Amino acid sequence: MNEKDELEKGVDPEEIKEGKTQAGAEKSDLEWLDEDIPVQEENSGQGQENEQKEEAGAKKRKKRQNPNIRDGVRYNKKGEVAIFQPFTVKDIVFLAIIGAAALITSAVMPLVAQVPIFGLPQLVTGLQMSIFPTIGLMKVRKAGSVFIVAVLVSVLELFMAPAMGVTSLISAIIIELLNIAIFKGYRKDIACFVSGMLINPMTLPFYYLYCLAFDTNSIFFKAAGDSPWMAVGISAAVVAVCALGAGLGILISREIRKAGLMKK
Amino acid sequence: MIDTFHAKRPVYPLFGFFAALLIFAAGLATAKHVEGMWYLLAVWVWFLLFGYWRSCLIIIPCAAVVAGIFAGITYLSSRELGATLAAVSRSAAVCLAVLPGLSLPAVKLTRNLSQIHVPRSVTLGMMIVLSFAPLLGKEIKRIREAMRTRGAGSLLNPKVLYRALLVPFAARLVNISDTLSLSVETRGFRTGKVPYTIYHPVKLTMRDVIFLLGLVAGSAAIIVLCFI
Repeated sequence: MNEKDELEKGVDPEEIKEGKTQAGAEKSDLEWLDEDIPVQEENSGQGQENEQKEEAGAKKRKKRQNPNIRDGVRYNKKGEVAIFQPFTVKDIVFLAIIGAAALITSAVMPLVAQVPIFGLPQLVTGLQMSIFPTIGLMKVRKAGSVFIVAVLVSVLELFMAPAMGVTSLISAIIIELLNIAIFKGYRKDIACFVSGMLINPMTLPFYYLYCLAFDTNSIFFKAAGDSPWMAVGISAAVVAVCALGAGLGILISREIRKAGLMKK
Repeated sequence: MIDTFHAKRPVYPLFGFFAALLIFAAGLATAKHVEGMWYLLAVWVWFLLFGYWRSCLIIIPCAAVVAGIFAGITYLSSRELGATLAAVSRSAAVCLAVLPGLSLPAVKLTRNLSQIHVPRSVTLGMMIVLSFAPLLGKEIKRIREAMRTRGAGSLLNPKVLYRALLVPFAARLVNISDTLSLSVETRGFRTGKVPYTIYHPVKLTMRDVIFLLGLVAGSAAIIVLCFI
């Protein structure tokens, strides 16, 4: 029965409208066809949420990233290459291997550790402790490289000879400060030479001061007191050996670079 | 460092580090006293009790050779029995101080340092230094074998030392570092402030505390006995 038949039978049109009759009920069921169906816009709902999350993540990343670092090189406010460059994993790995090489080749040191001559351990390790760090500096030309090598080596030295570990660390800090003050980094070969040469001789005065402060019974401290001229002579020999080692380090790294193995 | 020295259950790495410093300091300070020798013997037994038996046994011949050499040199130069005894004591102290470091697997120390939020660059570097030292020793041996095969001559000749040993060794170092850094980077190591997890955290146990407390008590007692 449709609406026309119901009207002919005398049904109140108001009742049809309200859906109380059969025709009214059918009509109200189909009314939704005339209504505007809300269409979901593109990127709304979950899509919009994802976009917001991505934006927030990008903002965080941007905040974390230093705007002064471009292509792994840090620039200062003037746009010049900064003294302190960020260390990459590659740099750390190379410096660690250099530290391990210096340490393993210095294994002769315990053999003279009890010979009462001031500076003898530094003399026998002078060549290796200058060649390898210089090679390291020639590859990783970043301020702080000597300190990183010293930290890695001295942590192991602390297990065996705490005095050597402490003095190595202090001398590395001073070498870095001197390098920054004079050469402003390791861009020049002469900077690598000077720093590589100073690593071992620098420990001599600090070792003497360490003994003076904490270990006056040390055989080296007593030897320096008993024969000061010998101590001076040995110290001069340490400087000479380390200068030779640093020079060799530069020559070796130049040869390796020429062979295409080492990139600046 | 070297697998044969590794203890099955080494003490908490930082405690081992502190123990090394303590033994070294107390051993050198009491080297001139006879009680110092007893202290070192007690430390050796203490290590033995805490499962360091392998390194404790291996260290005996090493310590005997080192102490013998130094004692000999000291006796020849001073002709004093006291000074010779002190040289033996010092050598033994150094050998014992090295024990905790030798018995500790590199990875445990690295994990421990990572747990206390030491910068990633330091822990990574330390792990490389600790695990690559023996490998580099082998590299030197290989280069020397190659020299012998080629009849390169004696290492006492500076030209041979430079051309046949130092240059190939440095080239090998560069090659190893390139391969290793690639390997490290592909495993997600980064030097920046990146969050990371530790797969096997090193836990502090009562055993470690007892080990350190015993060592501290012993060291304090020997110093009091010798100097006060």
